[in-house]
Amino acid sequence: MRQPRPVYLNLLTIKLPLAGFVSILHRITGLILFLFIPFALWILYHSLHSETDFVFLTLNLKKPFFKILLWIGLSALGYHLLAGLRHLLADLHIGTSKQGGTNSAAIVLILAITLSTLIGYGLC
Amino acid sequence: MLIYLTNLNASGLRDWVTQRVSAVLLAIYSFILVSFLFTHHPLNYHQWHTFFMQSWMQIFTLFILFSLLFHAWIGLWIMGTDYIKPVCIRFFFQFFVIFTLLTCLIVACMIIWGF
Repeated sequence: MRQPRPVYLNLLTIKLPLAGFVSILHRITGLILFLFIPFALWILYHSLHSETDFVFLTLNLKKPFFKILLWIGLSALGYHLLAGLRHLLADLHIGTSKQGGTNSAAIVLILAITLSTLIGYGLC
Repeated sequence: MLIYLTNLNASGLRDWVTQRVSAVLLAIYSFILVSFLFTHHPLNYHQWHTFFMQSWMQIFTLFILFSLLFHAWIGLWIMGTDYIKPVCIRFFFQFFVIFTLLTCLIVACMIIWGF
């Protein structure tokens, strides 16, 4: 008689490899960017509509709430761009070995963290 | 049937190419915007307005808006089919995504070409 195979899928005990982490974060930042499109349009609208609106916008963007929003949006954009670049390089067969994938994932993470820090510094 | 209704993509290869071409365009556009902001640091309205109202910039921005629409649609379609199993919820998710993206496209066109 065939024994039923054990099903074991506790996601908390599965360790995601670095490349997998970078990949899922690429999706998450993509979703964040989609949600940020209305915010970006709001900025574009006020920045182009009139000089009064432009001043209104610059004053608003100096408020902590908008600075945080801006930081999240720009950091997500930077990360998504870097991780996307890694995908494009993989399409050109660069860094497709197991070690190469881990290395490029580490490079993307380091560059993205640096970029986010710089953006945060610039916004302060 | 419902699944195929929201499957506007039809070809995986076409999605793959579209995703990458739009990605490159979006990257170039981001780079141009960031360079402009860096080279015009205390930015004033007239510089910004003049920059966006140049013909090439208006046309390029329109291309970018379409790139963004397709790029976001393909990405979110993939995520929807990966993570949302109940067909009904997925259908509404995909409808919501398309509706939102098209609305944003129309609004963005009005902003870019209207002022």
